[in-house]
Order: sequence, then C-alpha cells, then structure tokens
Amino acid sequence: MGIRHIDVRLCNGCNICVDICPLDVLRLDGITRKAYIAYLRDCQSCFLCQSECPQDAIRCVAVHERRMVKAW
Amino acid sequence: MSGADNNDAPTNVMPARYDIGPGMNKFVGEGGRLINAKGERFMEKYNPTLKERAGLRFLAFAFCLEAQQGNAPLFMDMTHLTPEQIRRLKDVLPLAMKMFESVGLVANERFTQPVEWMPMATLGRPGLVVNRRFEATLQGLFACGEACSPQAVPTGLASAATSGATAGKSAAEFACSGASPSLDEEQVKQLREEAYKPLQRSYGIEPDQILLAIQEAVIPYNVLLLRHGERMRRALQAVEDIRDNQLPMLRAYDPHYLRIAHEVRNLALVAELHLRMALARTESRVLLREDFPYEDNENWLKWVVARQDNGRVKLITRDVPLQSYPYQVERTKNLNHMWQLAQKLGIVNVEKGEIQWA
Repeated sequence: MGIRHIDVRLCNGCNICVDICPLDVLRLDGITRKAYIAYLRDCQSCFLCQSECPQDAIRCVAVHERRMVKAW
Repeated sequence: MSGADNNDAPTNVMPARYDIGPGMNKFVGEGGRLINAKGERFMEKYNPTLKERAGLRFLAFAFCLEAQQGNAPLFMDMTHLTPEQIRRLKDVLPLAMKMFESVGLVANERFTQPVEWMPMATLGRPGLVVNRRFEATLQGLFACGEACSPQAVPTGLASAATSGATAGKSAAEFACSGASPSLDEEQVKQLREEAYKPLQRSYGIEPDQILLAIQEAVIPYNVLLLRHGERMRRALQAVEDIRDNQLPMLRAYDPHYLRIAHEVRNLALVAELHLRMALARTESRVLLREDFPYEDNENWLKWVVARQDNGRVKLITRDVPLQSYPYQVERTKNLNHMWQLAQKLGIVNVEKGEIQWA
C-alpha cells in the first residue's frame, strides 16, 4: 500500500508531489494534468506527498506493498 | 568503489515495518519504554541506570540478547504517554506520527498499543574513505552523508548537511581547477551498454526479487549485529550467488525500474563489502562476534579497507594513527565489556575462547 489515493477532483496539477517523492512513485498525466500513482510497490510510506500537497488531495497508509524482512 | 572503510559502524534500533529512522531519542525522551514479548522492561536488566537512554550499540546488543533468549519480538511501549506528550511528538516527528496514526497505533491522542521495534544492521554500513575535504581516494570523487565511512560521517541529518556543504564546495573547486577531462569514447560506449542492459532484456529477474534476497541474507539480527563466522559465511555465499547468478539476469521494464536495478546492484556490493569486512575483523569491538569475543588491542587497532582489484573485492588493513591521539591505548586483549555483562547476567559462558549460550 503506502500511498492509497489521489483525489483528482482536488488535484490542481502543481506537480509538487511528483517532484518531492524520493522514490519516483508518482507521475503527472500529460493530458489531464492530474497526478497519478505509477509505481505503487515502490512507495515507502514516507507521507511527504500527503504532507506537502497544497490541496490536501493525497491519502497514505503506513503499510508497505513489499514484504519487509524482519530482524527475527 | 575506490576504498570503502571499515566495519566498526554505528547500529540503530527503530520501529519495525515503518521506514522511520530518526526519532528514537524523542520517543525515549518522552518516556517510551522498551519491552519484550513477555512485557518485561528488559533494559532495566542490562543498564539499570540509563535503561532506554543507553547508547544505540548497547541497545542493539540488548535486542540481540533478548532475541537469542527467545524474548522477541520487542516493542517500544508508549501507551502511558499523555495527550500533551503525543501532541509534542506530533510537533517534532510529524511524519512518524502520521504513519502511526494511519495504521491505528495512535488514536485520540494516545498510543493504542506498543509499537514493534527492531535493530537494524543495514545502517552499520561501510563507506568511502574521505579526507577533510570529503574527497575519496579516487581523484575527482567526493562523498557526503552516509556514503562516507562512519569515521567521517557517523549518521544523522546534521552531519549529512555539513558534509554535503563541504563536499559540494570541494567538488566545485576541483571542477574549476583542472583542464576539461578527455573522454574515452570506447569506454563511454561500453559503460552505456552495460547501464542499459537490464532495459534491453525481454525476460529476466525483477529487481524486487533480488532486493528481497539481499534483505533475507543480511537483515536477520544474528548475521551482522550478533556475529559468527559460520553465519556470516553462509550469508556471504547467498550474496555471492546473487552477484554471480541473479544480477546478470536483471530486467527492467522502463527507466524507473532501471534505476532500481542499479540500486539493487549497489546494495549487493555493499552487502558483500559489509560481510567480507566483518569476517576479516576477528575480534569483538563495536559489534560482537561469538567466535571471537575478545576486544583485541594487541592486533586490531586498525581499520579494514576494501578496494577494487580486477573487479573483485580486496581487503587490506590500515593502522589507526594512535601516535597522534592525546591518550594512548593499552595494548591488551580482554573479553569485550558487553560480553562481560552478558556473562555476569548468566546469559553466556566463555569456553575455549568462544561464546556458549547458557
């Protein structure tokens, strides 16, 4: 999981989330100018996109899509 | 790889399943208590004075001892914190607290249950040997943050920022100082072909598979935190298998996955360096070995340095320049003080120069 939803009605195409994502998870649709989740598996749930979105359009959950190997 | 420095590296403990590095001190500072699967506040046993405020490597060792005694998983218990403390945590660690809230660990300004915590060996990493200008031993290569060896940059945002500022300035000075570099077009062509190879394959192994395999080899606590030659050799075999049989089959669907393919290549190299250097250090110093439990100041006041030699890793040692230190170290060999503690608590015995679990 990680990033779970981008509300396209709120997204204003500012590209901030695309720029800020450290793992290249998001893209901006060239035609609609709306952000979308392109690589869900690579989201590390850092919440930066949710925190920085000026439209409050993004929702994240801190559960990883990838299995995390544990120390024990 | 121009010369990556040693294995005497910092360790860390952090919430399991959440990518939260910073924050440990704040959670502890507000009164977080480390408990084991039985609900015991185990740091009272290992460090009655400092408890959770003990140093990170001490905490990591305590985690290993608890796991070894069958008391894992381990948790940070913050259920007793007040709403005011939770608000303070939200101010200082907003992203971490958002993560906890998103999965219900924090609700109505309270922690609802203890948070699983685990030690991380992945932060005890090797790094490039740099001078005070943050210049590596390969001319024209500069490094900052945790790309440097732990002697230059232990960990953390502050040293990442200061080393980054210095390295950037040094790199700019270097770029302005010399003539334009001459390019070997043939070499450029070869490097480009190599870099894009995963993109050109129509079948092959996903980077995700290799990432998981590397993690399974090195993340268990008893590989790089609580060390034994036999276990590390097994992990090294797994990493060498990845290097020789899986990396050549890497496949990338697009430039996004090409970047990840190169990252897993680098991770495999770092894992190999880490294991080789840890195997070379036949003593217990910052991190502990069961098969070499003594802190050996007779033979091991030195760093292990890895260098590239015909595409393979070559290890050398370099003496720590003790003559320039204001205080001299006694050249003795004693049971490492953390193993002494474990022995005193009746958790281990030392037999024939090796640790035996009681």
